[in-house]
Amino acid sequence: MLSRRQILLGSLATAGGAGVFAAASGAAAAEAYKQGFEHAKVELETWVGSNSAKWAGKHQAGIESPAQAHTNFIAFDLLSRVTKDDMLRWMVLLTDNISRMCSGKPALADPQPDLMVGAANLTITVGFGPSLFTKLGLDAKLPTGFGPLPKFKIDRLEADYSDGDVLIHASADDLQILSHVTRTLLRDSELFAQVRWIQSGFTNAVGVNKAGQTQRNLMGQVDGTDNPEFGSENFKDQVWITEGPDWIIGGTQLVLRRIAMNLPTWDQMGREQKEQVIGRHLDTGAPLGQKNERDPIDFEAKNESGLPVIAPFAHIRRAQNQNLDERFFRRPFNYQVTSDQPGVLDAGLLWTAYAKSLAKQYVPVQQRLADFDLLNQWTTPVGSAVFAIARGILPGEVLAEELFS
Amino acid sequence: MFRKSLIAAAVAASLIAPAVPATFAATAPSVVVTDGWVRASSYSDHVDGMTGVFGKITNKTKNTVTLVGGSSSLAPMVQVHQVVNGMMSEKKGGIKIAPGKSVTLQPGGLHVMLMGLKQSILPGTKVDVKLAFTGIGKPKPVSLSLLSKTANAGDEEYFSNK
Repeated sequence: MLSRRQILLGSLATAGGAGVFAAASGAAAAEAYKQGFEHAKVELETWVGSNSAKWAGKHQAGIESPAQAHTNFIAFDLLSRVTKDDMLRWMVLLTDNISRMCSGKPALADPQPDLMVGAANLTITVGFGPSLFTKLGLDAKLPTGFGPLPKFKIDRLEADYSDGDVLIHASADDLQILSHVTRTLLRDSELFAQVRWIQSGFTNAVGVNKAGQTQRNLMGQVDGTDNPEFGSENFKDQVWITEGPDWIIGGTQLVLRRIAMNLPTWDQMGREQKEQVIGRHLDTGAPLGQKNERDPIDFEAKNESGLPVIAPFAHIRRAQNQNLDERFFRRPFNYQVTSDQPGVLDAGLLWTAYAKSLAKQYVPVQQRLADFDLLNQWTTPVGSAVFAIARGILPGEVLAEELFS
Repeated sequence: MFRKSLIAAAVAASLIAPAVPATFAATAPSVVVTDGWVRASSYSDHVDGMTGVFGKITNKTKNTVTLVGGSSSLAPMVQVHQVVNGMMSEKKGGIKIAPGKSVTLQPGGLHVMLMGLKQSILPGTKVDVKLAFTGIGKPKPVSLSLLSKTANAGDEEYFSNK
């Protein structure tokens, strides 16, 4: 009996081998059919690797698109004596790398080009931390609402996960390709800056979730339900900067927070308690008292005892925007690494928010959560960094050229 | 390490997208160089230094062509070199490329040397190189603007020259 896959291949082979009917002889038609079959087979077998994301455009890639399976956030500190001129040379090298590797091609001078077997949806996004503007005397080019975050009382920040002059954020659906890309990016950066930290994260692999399905974090919650839709006016309004210095028009601002989770104590809680803490049903992601993930949240609803269905301490109540400005786009990745203690995993979230103005859109929400959110009992921010993400580039343009010229 | 760079030139020269090969003539068929680059290293970060030019050369003409050398505004001497048993030497007679065939110039193998550099070559700058071929009728150089990059592979070529 033919599998669905075999039937699909057969039909692709017929479609691909348009020469079947045009071929002069039966033998030629048979050969064309076999070649079409082989071609379709290889295409199906390598479809994850051959996916490539659009790297050129008004906005940098790696933001308005579903999170890939694997990610590396790489922060650098400039070497001393690095000038704006040097920065431009670095940006030329990165631009060339982006244009090639995001098309699935090896970088120039790649000593192991054979490892670059495809793009696997690779995106490489570049941004700059507040310290870079200070070091290079670029304060006049700072975007509005961008700067170091206020200190939050919940923070237990470690330098190894925080701050940085330059961010290169690379993500792909294949870890081996991403590792090679990362190595290439580090090699071409080493004359300009030293790595401050690398934070690696993951989501589900390709082919595991339905398209558009909200991801789950390692506590089991859906995470990102209220995100604006890709391509929507809402997304544009919340994320892409329209005013300010040239280099940032079409760019955005990123905050990356490393949120360590105390999963052993979270695991000890009952399912209903967990749902109370979040304010959502764990299975469907629906707000408590509702059926579907995207049903509106009724903050006024009371249960039979007269208590709020969504508790005062619930995460979704505290995180809810109080006005239309307090909205932003989240694109989180999970992390899990070994810890200093044998047998204990260090796990959590590489939480990100993208906004036109972090000061206006993100900080008020974070302040509310820091003041009071029961979820804080199980989560601890251990890393925090902000980066201004330059506008996108077209072929022939150099990344962030206006910033360093 | 960071000297006055060639960045103005580097940025002014438009980046050649990987899919768009540089050709020496607007009319096909021709000789095409793709993925060309120049190595930036401690040998090229000073005046009178030297460096290698790498890339893939494809002969799209109907004749055998020979890469015999070239020129660059940055180097008075441009030679075709080979590495044999880890030793670098000039490849007398140049590199022959049959019709429809390609040759890859790469670290540790065939390459073009820029010698007696008039200025330092820093990574991330553009370097102009003209490659000269015989066998294609009226000799016309292939003009290239190549990105300089650091690379550690094939270092024997430099050590063997000392």
